[in-house]
Amino acid sequence: MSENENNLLDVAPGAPHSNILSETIAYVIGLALALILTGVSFWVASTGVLWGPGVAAGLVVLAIAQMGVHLVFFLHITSGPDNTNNVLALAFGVLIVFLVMIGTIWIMSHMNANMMPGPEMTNLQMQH
Amino acid sequence: MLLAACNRGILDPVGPVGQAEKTILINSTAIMLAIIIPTMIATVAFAWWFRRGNTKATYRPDWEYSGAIELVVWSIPAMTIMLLGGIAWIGSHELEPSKPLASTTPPLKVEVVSLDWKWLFIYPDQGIATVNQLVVPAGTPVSYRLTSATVWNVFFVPQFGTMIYTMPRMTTRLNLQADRPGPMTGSPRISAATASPEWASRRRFSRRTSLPFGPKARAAPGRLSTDALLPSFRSRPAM
Amino acid sequence: MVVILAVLGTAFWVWRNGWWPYLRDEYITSTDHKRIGIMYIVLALLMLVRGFADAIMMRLQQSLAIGASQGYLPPEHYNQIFSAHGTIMIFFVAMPFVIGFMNFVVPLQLGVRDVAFPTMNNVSFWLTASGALLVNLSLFIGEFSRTGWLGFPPLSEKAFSPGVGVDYYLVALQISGVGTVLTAVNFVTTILKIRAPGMSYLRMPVFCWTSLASNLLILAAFPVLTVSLALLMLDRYLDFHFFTNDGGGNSMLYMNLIWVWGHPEVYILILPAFGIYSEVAATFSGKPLFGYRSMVFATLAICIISFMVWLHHFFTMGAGADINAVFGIASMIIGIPTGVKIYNWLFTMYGGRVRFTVPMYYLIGFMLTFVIGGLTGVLLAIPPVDFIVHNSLFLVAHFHQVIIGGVVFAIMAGYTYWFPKAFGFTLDERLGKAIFWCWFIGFHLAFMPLYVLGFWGATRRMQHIPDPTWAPWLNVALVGAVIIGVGIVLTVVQLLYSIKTRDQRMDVTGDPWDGRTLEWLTLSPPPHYNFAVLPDVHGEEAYWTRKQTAIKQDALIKEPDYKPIEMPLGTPVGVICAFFASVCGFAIIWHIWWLAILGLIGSFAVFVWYAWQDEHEHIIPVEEVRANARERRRIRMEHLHTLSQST
Repeated sequence: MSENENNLLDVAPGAPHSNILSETIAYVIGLALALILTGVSFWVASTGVLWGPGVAAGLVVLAIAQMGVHLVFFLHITSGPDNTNNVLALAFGVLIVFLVMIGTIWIMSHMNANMMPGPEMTNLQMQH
Repeated sequence: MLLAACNRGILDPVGPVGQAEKTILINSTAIMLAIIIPTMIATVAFAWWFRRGNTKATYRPDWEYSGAIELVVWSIPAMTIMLLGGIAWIGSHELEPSKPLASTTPPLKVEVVSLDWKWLFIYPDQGIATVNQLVVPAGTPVSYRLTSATVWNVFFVPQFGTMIYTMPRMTTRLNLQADRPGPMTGSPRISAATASPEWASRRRFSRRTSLPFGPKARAAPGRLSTDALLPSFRSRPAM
Repeated sequence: MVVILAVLGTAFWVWRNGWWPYLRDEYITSTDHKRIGIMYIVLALLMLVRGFADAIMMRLQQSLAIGASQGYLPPEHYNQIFSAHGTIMIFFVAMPFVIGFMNFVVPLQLGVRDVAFPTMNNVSFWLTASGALLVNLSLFIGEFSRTGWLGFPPLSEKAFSPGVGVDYYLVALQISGVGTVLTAVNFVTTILKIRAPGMSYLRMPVFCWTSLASNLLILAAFPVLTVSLALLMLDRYLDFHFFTNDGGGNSMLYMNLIWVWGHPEVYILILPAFGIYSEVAATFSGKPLFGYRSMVFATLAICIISFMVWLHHFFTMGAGADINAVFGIASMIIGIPTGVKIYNWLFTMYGGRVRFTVPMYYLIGFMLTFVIGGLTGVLLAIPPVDFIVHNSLFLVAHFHQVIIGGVVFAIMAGYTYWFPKAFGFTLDERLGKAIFWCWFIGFHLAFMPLYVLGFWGATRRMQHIPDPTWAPWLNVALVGAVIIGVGIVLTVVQLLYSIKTRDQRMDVTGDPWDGRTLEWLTLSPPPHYNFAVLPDVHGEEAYWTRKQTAIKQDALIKEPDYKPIEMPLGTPVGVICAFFASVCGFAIIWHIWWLAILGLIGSFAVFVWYAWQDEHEHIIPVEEVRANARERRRIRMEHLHTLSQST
């Protein structure tokens, strides 16, 4: 339990709270941030505000930010002393995500590069 | 049993690609068997010798670690895998399907499309297309570009060697060669998504509901001529 | 029709015998890991019958449909059968078996009273059962998927599979997937945080290590399955374009993602199997397991590397030489720790006093069968070789060899090994050996010919055989399948016979095999709370050292102070949640949206109700604890005297 609840800003967002009101507020803040990030992702993907090729990068950044919000506000990952198991679990999760993501990107980009249809086939694609 | 299986299918390759793959297959099997057969013998031997009723065997109730044995049991598999790994690396590069074959003859280009329930082979330089019949000249490398009209499928003639997927909107590439003439059978259509022969029954002209046979391949001696391909124009019923 | 009658008939018979209250209180609502484990295994055995029926039908079709004949199964039916066979065997036979064993054994081996989250454990089981129910429902209402056990697009997209079959498949797996992930959360927490005093990580039995690794894999891999299936559901239900041919979809992405899950899945199955073999090898050789630390290291190595090999399932998709080679080499590297384990089991037998009990038969059978499967696996890991045998009967023979030789044999060994602990009497030994031979001989007859046919160019999933020269081999395979069927029938016979004659084989002491791990400390079956007092662990093989000390001193340890024990109450939340989940799932499949929403609300509402309950535990009074414990001590003392007199 944290000693000084007077100043909420001193307490790490994931740290346990001593009363239910501040805990609820933390969850609400987390929910709000998650909703905002989701909304921004859809907005970025559908408007032309962000330069085309940068949209993918933008979405990745927003996704990572959203993961951070979930980890801190909902799963209470902090760097406090009693948290070694949590940090190890997080490391394991990050490793797996890294493997899957890098593997998928590597594989799919090679596949796509190897399988570009030739020029005479491109006009067989969807005519809209 | 394995001896009886020789000289058929992938063990009777007609070209350099299939031949190389068969050699790798046999080599790797032999290497692995060299490890595995002694292990299997030891399993039965140890279990039998150390059975409870055998008073001649020494009972070592506390023996549970030996550095020497650990070293051996880690290093033998490791070295075997290093050898096979090297073969895998080199083999993957040498036998990469999209890699053109070394040859003095210029390659024949064939385009392959898997449609629902039949194969379409297009010879762009000859201006000819065939259905379900693939005829290639013996001794000439063939450069395939493959795709599918609908669902995934697999183009595979076991005696040619390497198979490759056909996928809609994508073009896969394959290079094979047949060095001796003769008829071959393509593998019945398998698709990673399963060829559903049920569809055949919905087609107007196909009376068959069974799995349509794979591409019937034939390697013709000499240069490819329109005459050699003409018989293919007759729509032969799928077998 | 037959099945409906059988189910109704059984239900009626149970009701007539007045067994429903017992079943409801002792099993259906139970939060006891032992009961839940038994329920998983019962589910697995029932689904084994269904999955095996599919197998026999396929073998029969392939033996009949040669040349001119079309066999008796039209293609659209045959496609459903092989899809159901694979789906059921992996998701509703192998997984429940393995999870059932982990449930029953792990808390006992760790010397604790239950898993970390007993109520969630109950929910996990019922969600799995819900998935199984939906798959079985597809037999009667609608159809099942025709797209194989993994459902690749574009074939599984609405354009090519407009029926409900794929939807049954997707929904059933999503529901049971939730159950599986919850199980993983439960077990990782239990193994990491809840162990008997003194049991450090390196004093845990190997089965617990393999369970930990397997559950870590479930945690990491199943979300990928959930997402992949969910994306396909979005394609099918909301016209999204993740994997379609048009709209920017890429069906290769599904292949990639599903195998990111699919490869760890097979290690999820095999790692606990390896754990069972470790226990059996040590116990029936009368020696500690050889190379414990090596085993632990190898287990964790397999766990991590299994996440780096998935592309070997689609070498022929055309990723290019570099990628193919890297994944191929990684796939071979995983063979190294596996080989080390085989040698460790070998050297466990060396210098031992091997007893040829039924579990030992399965261990030796495994060591002979699985290594060939490993050989063919290494072959398949070499891309140029895979180029000519991918998706052929060679592949089918390989994976059945490792699954049957590896997982099924372990299941049968574990079933025989732990049956007395669960029920208080051993199974008939002679029938057990007969069942082993049925599996061993039947397996080899059924699958060795398939290697040959694979070389001849035979592909998998063929409804019709074009080449009559394949017939003799397929007929041998059919004979093999029938022999396995005999084995399965004998398993049922063995169970019934053993129950009938159980008085001849009662497990009086609770330690019928001269075991080495803590589950053998209790009587059979253990009391609800497992141990009157959590045992102190002083080294590896906690129970063995304790037993040897007791034998030497001809005395049990000093009687401890007994205290009342708090245990969780049983609860109906699991079965009610699963009921609503099934309703929701069924409604989604048939596009009955109002019912789907109702089902969804119901399955969550039950937890809201649960949360507002006050009483979740009950106290077992100290008199009961003391009485049970003293009874155990009395029996053990008697047994001890017999032992010391004989040594």
